[in-house]
Amino acid sequence: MSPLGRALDLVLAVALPLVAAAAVARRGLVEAVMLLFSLGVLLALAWARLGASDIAMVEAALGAGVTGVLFLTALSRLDAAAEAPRRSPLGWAGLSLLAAAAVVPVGLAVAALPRDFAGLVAPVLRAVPETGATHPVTSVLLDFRGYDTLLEIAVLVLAVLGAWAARGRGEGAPSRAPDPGPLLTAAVRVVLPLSVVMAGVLLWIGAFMPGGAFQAGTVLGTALVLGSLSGVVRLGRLPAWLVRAVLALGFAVFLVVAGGTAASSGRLLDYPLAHAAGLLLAIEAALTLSIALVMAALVEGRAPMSEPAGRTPTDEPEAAP
Amino acid sequence: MTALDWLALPCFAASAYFFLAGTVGLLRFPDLFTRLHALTKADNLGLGLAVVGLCLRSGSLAVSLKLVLAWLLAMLASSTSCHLVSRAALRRGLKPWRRA
Repeated sequence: MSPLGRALDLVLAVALPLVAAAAVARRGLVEAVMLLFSLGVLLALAWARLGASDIAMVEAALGAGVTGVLFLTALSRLDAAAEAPRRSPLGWAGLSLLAAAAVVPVGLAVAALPRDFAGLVAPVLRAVPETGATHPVTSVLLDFRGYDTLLEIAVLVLAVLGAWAARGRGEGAPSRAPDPGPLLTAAVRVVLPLSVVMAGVLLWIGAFMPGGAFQAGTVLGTALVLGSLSGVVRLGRLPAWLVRAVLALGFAVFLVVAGGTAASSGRLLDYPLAHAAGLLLAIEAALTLSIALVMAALVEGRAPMSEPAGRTPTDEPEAAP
Repeated sequence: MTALDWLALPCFAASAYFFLAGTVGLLRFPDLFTRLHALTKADNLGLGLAVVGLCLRSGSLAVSLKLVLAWLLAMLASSTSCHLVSRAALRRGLKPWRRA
């Protein structure tokens, strides 16, 4: 490794825990969220340094993007200058205990690994040709541990249902900026089509390069969030059934393929090699759309209303009680 | 090192200088507006110079075009967010700094 690379790693290794600790310790909530943004950027860099460009991309879009936006949206509904309550020494002790409970077992597990263990790289690379993708990460995500990924998208859809249940139908202030201004609108109009193209590229190259449904979905989702925050995209204008259908699409397609493979070969998500590439692409395309809409729906926070025909949904200001 | 690598070297040096200047401005300037000014102007130039240096070293037109696109998008994002932050600050009644 080059000395410059070593220096960069050292900076990351020192900065990551510091920024994480500062994000927890800060009492100003806006500052804490900003520190969380920084943590996301640093984490993305760390993943990139580890050679995990797939995760780096998702971390940059999710950790440094959507998660922060979610927190900021939540903050905008609270008091802007909100502060976390002062933690008692007992609270800090509990927090440290929780952190130790997470860190110590992981550290022990890493320490228990045999020194000459080569990892699963060789077996994975040997099995990749049986999966219909040539990029090992895609093979792992959708084939070797396809069941995990199936459950992950189910969890995402459940998260949206939870948010809708908590927020109710069409209640509360719209999350859109009241006046986006000409500059933001113009910038978003440039970025949106580029993001759609980028998501398409990431989805397609995922079969043989870093990319795939989660990367494409996060890029498209971030674009949707940006679009709806600036008022360029109005998700509320979409018919409610369409929003629900697209949200469920990824899980549904995945489930149908899982059921089909289980029925035909007796093994869940064991794709027949002749159709594996097509099936993977279908699943990934459906996942991309659903993941993108999950993010937008979480930021929007409200269930789409099934309006009777003739009324325009959600855009009108709420009647004051 | 090839001739292109030697050409790239001053680009990186100038890039580092502008990033450093932007950071010093962020830390030392008196109010939000001047700090934003230091940060966005100097950093965009620093990033541009780094991109020029990387283009020279990449030896590939496709890679260079992608790098330039990344620079253009970063400029779009930073100028837009700079505008939004300063507009929000103005609307909240933050007065721009004046020499006393």
